[in-house]
Amino acid sequence: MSTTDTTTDTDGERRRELLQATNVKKHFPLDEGLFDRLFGESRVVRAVDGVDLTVHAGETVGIVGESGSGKSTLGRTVSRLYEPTDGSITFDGEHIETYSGRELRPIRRQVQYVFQDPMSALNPRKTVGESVARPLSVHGIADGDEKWARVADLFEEVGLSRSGMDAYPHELSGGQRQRVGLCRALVTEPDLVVFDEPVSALDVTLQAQILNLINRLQREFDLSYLLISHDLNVVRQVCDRIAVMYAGEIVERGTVADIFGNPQHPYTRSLLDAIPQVESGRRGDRKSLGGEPPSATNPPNGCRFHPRCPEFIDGSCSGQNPELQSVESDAGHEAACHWLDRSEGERATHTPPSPSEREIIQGSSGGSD
Amino acid sequence: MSLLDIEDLAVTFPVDGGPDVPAVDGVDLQVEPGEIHGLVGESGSGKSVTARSIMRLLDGAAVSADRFDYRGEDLYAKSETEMRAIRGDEIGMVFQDSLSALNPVMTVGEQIAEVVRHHGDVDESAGLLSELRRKYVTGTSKSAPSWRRAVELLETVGIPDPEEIATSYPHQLSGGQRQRVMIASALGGDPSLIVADEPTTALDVTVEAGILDELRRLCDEFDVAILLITHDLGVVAETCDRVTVMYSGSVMEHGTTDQLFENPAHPYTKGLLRSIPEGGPTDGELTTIPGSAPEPTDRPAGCPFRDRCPAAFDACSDPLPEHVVDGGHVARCHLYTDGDDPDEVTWDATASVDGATNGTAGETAERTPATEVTDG
Repeated sequence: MSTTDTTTDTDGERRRELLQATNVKKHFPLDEGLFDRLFGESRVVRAVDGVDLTVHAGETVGIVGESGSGKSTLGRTVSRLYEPTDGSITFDGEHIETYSGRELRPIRRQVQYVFQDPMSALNPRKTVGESVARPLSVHGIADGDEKWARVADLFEEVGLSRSGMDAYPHELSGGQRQRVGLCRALVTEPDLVVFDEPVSALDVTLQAQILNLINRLQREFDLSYLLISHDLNVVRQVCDRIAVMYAGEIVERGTVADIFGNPQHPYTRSLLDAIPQVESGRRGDRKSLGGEPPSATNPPNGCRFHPRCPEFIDGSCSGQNPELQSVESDAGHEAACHWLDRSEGERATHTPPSPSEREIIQGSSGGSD
Repeated sequence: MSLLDIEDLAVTFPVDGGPDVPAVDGVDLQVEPGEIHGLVGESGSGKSVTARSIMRLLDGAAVSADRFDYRGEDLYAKSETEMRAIRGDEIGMVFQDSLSALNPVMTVGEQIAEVVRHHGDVDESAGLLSELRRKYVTGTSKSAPSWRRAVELLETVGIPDPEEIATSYPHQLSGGQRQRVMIASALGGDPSLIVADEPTTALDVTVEAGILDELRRLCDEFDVAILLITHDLGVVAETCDRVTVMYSGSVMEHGTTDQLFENPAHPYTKGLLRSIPEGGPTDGELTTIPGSAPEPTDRPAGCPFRDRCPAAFDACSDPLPEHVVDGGHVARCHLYTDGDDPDEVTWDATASVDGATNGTAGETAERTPATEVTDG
């Protein structure tokens, strides 16, 4: 598993850029009644607001963030379940951002999506075998006996019995249903699978089983993964590279070692500090981050994290939204903060101003709108 | 004396046209005043049923226990009227899904004020007529003691600008704020015990940390005991004083948080701890417990964990024993009961369990799923 930076060319084929999204935006209009629509200013929810994302062939990229950070919207936009508001998306070198209808069909086959809740993703009135076989007919891949043989093989591959094909979704346990969800994603032999919180609804022992299965399938079928999760421990286990999202933007990205070993953005550090610890000596160490994520309709000026930031410095934080910039020590590791490379000592002794003081700082520095 | 003392609790749900479902079978649980006690288990382990049995909220279920005492008095000997006073006054409850537990057409301030009038120490009429007038005509006066207390409670649970929030409806608040409102409302009757059923499961990790800090602080400041029901061992490790581990309707192990995390004795507890994805990035497989929990109607005789247990042997089909590992730390496992020198056997047994889970983890993970499928 190559977890070094993206430019290291260990194996030309493996590092091929499978999915590349550039400056992708997805805004949802707010329906505010006739008067507002006719005369008012149209307001939008900026769910994803200018994100670059690359998935190389054979790698697993994780997107983490709190609910409302836009990570699911990003997953759905780059896999073209949503139409992007702006930006470009290439899949295997082909621009797919404006595709619609028939043009999208091959993409639907090559990019598959696994949902968090397989109970609502599976048709309750069809056997799970029928649900899994459906894409084979839709895409004209296989028919008749061959179709069912493929489905049966896949069921065994993910650890379900062939007889399980005749079950209805409600007859299966949560873990079994998620295995069926995996079958359905894999049946079209995709290149990229997008997982949206694949194990959040499962107990911890089942989580481990499914994550192991996801890892094994990747090796066997040579798949690329985009994995969306709010759980840093899950992302850490299966991903090569991680992007941390906050309020519709990526605030930091790098390899698993970069993010966990040398987190640069204060938000990433807050997320890591909030993970409950079970190891001896570290229990009870978790720190909570105050405040709430900002409104996606009216995000704060400047750095979107500045109202909650435990390391707020001055007017630059509230005045200007920082761009992603490289972290000197690690190639390929980027973070969007005005104050990268501060030493641990500096951070420890720094006392940030209170939220109300931040407002004043913002006012005096004339934060642009 | 324990605040809550339950011995050998069994809860069975009758099913029309089918066998009864024994959701809980043989649970002992003691909660001491002022402690945070974690009740941890996977879904279907019976932890929520146990929690609800404390509030006597299980309609239609057959509940039996050798002892079910709250402050030394049998809860199941009380009349429904007495019970109504206990719910809220003595025992408060916080549910997982705050959006469905709160009334969507009442402001949160009204909801908390109502609890305060019924259970708290304010001199306001809570009769039907005055409650109806408040609800449909006047609303609670902003200068009434119950409203002021509601605002105070919101402030106590760490809500900024409590006056403003008190006049909001549940849907206007974030998940974290709603969960704080639930806690404020549970505190409204000034209870000695709060039963919190997965209070942070629906929340983000950063918000969760804040809520758990709040529970810890309330526990210390108000001397209220909390029974924290969760599936998340991380939450337990960070928050609880003592822990009870449940599996498939039975208690497997209980002890202090340190005892349980430093020296887990039951193979199930060990398996749970190993399944937590933690530590550095791994290329290898996560260790996991093979298979899945049995259906309540289809449990093996004896230890319910024996079909998944790497250390299972013949004695496991006998009823669960109680083995005291050390003071206050009990594991209900046969591994510890059939040797001459319990200590020596303990460590030998532990070693073999370790070996079994580590050595065959990859293999079992591959093999298990096939056995996971029921014939359905």
